[in-house]
Amino acid sequence: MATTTEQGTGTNGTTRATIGILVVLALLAVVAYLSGDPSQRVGPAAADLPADRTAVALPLESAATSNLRIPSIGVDTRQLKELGQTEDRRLEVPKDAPTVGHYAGGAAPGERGPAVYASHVNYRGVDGGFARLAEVEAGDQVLIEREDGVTVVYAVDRVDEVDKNAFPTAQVYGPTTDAQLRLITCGGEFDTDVRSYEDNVIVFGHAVEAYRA
Amino acid sequence: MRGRRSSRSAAVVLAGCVGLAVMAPGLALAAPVPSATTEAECEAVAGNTWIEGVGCDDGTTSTTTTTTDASGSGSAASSGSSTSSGSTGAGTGTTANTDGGGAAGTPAGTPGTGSATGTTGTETGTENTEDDGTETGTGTTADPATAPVPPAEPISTVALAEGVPQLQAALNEDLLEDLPLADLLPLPDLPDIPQPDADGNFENVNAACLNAISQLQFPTGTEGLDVLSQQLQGFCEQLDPTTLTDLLDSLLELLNGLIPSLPEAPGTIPTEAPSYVPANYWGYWHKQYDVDCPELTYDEANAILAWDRSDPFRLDRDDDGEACEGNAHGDDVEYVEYIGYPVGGVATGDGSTGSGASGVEVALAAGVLSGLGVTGLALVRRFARQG
Repeated sequence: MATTTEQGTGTNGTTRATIGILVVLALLAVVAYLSGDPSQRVGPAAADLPADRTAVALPLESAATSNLRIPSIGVDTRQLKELGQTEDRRLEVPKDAPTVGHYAGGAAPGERGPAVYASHVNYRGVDGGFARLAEVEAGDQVLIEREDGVTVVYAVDRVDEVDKNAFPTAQVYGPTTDAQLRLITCGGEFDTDVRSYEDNVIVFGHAVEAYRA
Repeated sequence: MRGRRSSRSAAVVLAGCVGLAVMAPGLALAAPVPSATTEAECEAVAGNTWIEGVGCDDGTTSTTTTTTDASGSGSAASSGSSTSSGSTGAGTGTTANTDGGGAAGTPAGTPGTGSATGTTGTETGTENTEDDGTETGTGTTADPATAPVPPAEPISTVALAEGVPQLQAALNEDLLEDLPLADLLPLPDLPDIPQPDADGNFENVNAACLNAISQLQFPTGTEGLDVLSQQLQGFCEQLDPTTLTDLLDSLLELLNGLIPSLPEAPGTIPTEAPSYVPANYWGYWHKQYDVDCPELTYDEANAILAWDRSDPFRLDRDDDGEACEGNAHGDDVEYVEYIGYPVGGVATGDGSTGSGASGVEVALAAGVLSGLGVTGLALVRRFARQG
């Protein structure tokens, strides 16, 4: 009798220990997953372009953006907005997390000059449209479809993370002799005192072709 | 501004004098000279002076010169004493007299035979030398190739009465429009003003010119009138209407000398503004010249705006500091036109998520945790029943 009781007690203890270990392992796995920094590149560096596309000569005339895709980080959005400048001459930013804004004072996609796009890395508890922009690499493809049906294909030249206090204004907004691309979001450490990231992540690219599907 | 007005005044008056001169070319030669042979007759005419042993002198340089010419080969004493300015005419007469020999004195002696006769006398003197004096004293065999300008009608007070008001009107309208026309003054430092003779005629165009400028009036306080007076006097004295071409040439030189800073002749408005706006541009063209963007290049418009930020022509209607934006640079095609760069960094994040996980991923994690919890709870209960 006593043996049975001991056996039962021993079995229950073993079971409980096993369950506890499993729960702890699961929690550790979840925590490790959530706090870890696995690669956020979720797609190919370049998408396949339509085989029957019709080339359009660059540079282009002005036209609004209808779609922006960055295959390597899984961005594919039609949630777009035109941006202006604030009173202190800063670039406006979208008023929500996922929207990608285009600087209306700059070049249109495919037009001579830099077409500048900006989106949040995060905002109001939600990841922004450019949450993974820092994962973009040189050579990646960016495709921007215009409202006139022309798609401009850009190739990323480099990705810089720069201190906001040393923002390369001329490099980002300055005139260029060809059609170029700038993608901007925040990066670096978050300064809780001023509730702002210390850096900006800037993707520099240039147009390689334009086509109609 | 005032100084420039004076220069333009000179130009206008000179232009008027040109008109007077053109109306009566050659009048200097045809102008009458005093014909008085007695002291009483001479001094009956205003301005004339009887000089004992010389004759009647009207007191003006030009008249004296003409009189000397008229005397032709008259006595050397006559020429020398009456010619105060030593003019070319007097010298010619003297030379003719010398070359002509003593016989040349015959037709002379009485002044006032007219300038044409005087010139002929010079020719006669020369011919006397060549022909050994056989034709001395004829005074009528002028060489056609060197014939003098034929006599013309003298300038009358009537012509002057018409011309001077026109000059004054031009002054008032063109130059003095914004100045008070009160307390008017004549040109300062004028010499004795020649007066017309009893018939209302001036002796020559020079005298008429001096009389004309003496009648012009300028508002008190006009700057540069002394200089203007000297310039106009010089102009009148040098008038030589015997040759129209020479007159115009000399006038052109005079205009260039008087008003070298004027870009073009008065009254001529350029059709284009200069790309570079000189310092005196507005002083001269203000109120006279309006330009609009279609008439200007981008550079010209902005040069004007840079010179006068008050934007008198309203070339920068949006007041953004850039004139005639529509007149784009030719090299603008190389670039996109920019309103102006934004500056500084971009505030694209509020740090509200730092997980790096998407909402779906968080939900999946929560699901896993929930599943594990439920599974563990079920196992605990089952073993508890068994126990």
